[in-house]
Order: sequence, then C-alpha cells, then structure tokens
Amino acid sequence: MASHTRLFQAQGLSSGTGTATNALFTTSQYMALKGAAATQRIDVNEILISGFATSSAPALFQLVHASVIETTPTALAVATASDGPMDSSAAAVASAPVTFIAAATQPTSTNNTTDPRLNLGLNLNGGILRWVSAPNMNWTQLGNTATLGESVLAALTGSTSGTFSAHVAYEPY
Amino acid sequence: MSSLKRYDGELMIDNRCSGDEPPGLPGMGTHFSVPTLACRHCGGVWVINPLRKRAREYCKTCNKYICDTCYGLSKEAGYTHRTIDELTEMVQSGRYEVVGGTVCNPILISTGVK
Repeated sequence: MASHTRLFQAQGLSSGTGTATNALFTTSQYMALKGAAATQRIDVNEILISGFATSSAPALFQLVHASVIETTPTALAVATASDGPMDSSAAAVASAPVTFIAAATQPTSTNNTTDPRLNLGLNLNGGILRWVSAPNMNWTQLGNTATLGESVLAALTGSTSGTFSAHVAYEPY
Repeated sequence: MSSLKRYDGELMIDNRCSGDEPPGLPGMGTHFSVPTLACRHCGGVWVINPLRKRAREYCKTCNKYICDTCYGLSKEAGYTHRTIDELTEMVQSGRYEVVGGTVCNPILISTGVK
C-alpha cells in the first residue's frame, strides 16, 4: 500500500442491537470517516472486524453513507480508538480526515435505497471478517457533506449486541 | 486476454469459532469467501449475489462494472457519463462543489471559479 494509507481502528466497542436506517447511530457503536474538506477524496481499501462475544451474537454490520452528518465529533481517545499512517515514516497529511466514534449529535444512517451499502455481517462470537478491495476498486467517498462525504461502519437493526474490534484502512487524497 | 475478475475485491467471513451463523450466510462453523464488486460511477462496493440471474451491469465507456442504480441513471435522458475519478477532479479543481443529492446522483454547483 502507498505510504499515505492510514489505519483507523477501534477496540472493545459494543455493536449494540443495531441502528435502523434514517436513524441516529448510537455513540461508541460505530466508526465514522469524513473528509477533511469539501475537496478531499477518501478511498477505503480494507475493513477487518474481530468479534469477542462469548455467546452467539450475529451482527449485521454494514459500511454505509450518512444522510445527515454529525455535529462536533469527539476526538478519538487512545483507550478506544486511534487513527494514523500505516507507514511510520510517512509525512503528516496536510488535512487529516475526521475519524470518530462519538459526537455531540451522531450521524444518521442513510435510508436512500439507491445509496450503496456494503454488507459485512458476521457472528461476533469469535467471528472474523475481512474485506479487501482490488486495486483502484475501493469504496470511495468525496468531500465532507452528506451523502457522499461520510461513511460509517456500524451494525444495523436485527443484530445481537456483542463486543468487537475493527480497523478501516483508507487513503485520503 | 484480461478478465473483469481482476476488479474483484474479496470478503472473507470466518465463523469457524462461532458455533453459530449470521443471518443469511452459510451455516455454523464455516469459512466463507465471496468476491465483491465496485461501481466506478458512484464509488460504492457490494457483495456479489451468486444467485443473481440478471446481467451484472457494465459500462462500456469505463470498461468496468457499475451498480444497478448508476446503470438505471445512465439510461435516462440527458445523462452525463462521469466516473468517481472524474467527479473528484471536478471538485478538486475548485470549479464545482457537491452540495447534496445521493451518492449515485450528487448535486453539483459551479463555484464560479474560472
């Protein structure tokens, strides 16, 4: 991967029982990625979810766009999440994308049937899920406004709550 | 001859330690691997449905698969062919701004910059 690929990860989060479409996500039950500016493009290359539930916990994870973006995202806390370049010698990006798992007002899951959704369902009882794109065939977002400018990884309605850790590898331009 | 398979991503779900299955996916204790496709018009990705009988929509201009929604839009009158890469270039040129719409049909306005 290119040296400016970044890794947004969170550990020990709860999936909750899932968020309905057109509803606010629940704090610390999602991982959101937003462009730093109206012109910033982000390509998502890889997603990995590891489940740590001690009993069966099917979780209907999806990567979706937000139809209403958040207000005042909370800065990541090292106890639960981090975001940085995969290449430790990489120069700092001029405009770092906004990554968060909580905000003053959470983002809203899109309910537009024409918006893409990547299904990433697994059983959090020891399940592991990894999605990786082919080169230049990434999940792409553009800007920092709804709907194209923000993506969220979260469990959707119908899930059984379980603990998970996950990472999202992405490349900002 | 190159194949469109080179555009496939991969989704791997390992539930061998789970003892149970997620809804809609193969049975308990399984290791499941399936290709994914990306739409170069909207930038979305989806898991291939192996049971699909309809054609997977394909753009001859891009020489890539596109999603059903973008394919439907491409058949509408006045459609302008635009990949996510071209859209990125337009926005990053500073001449256009995305002000809303859907992922497959974003609303662009001119910023007035020459």
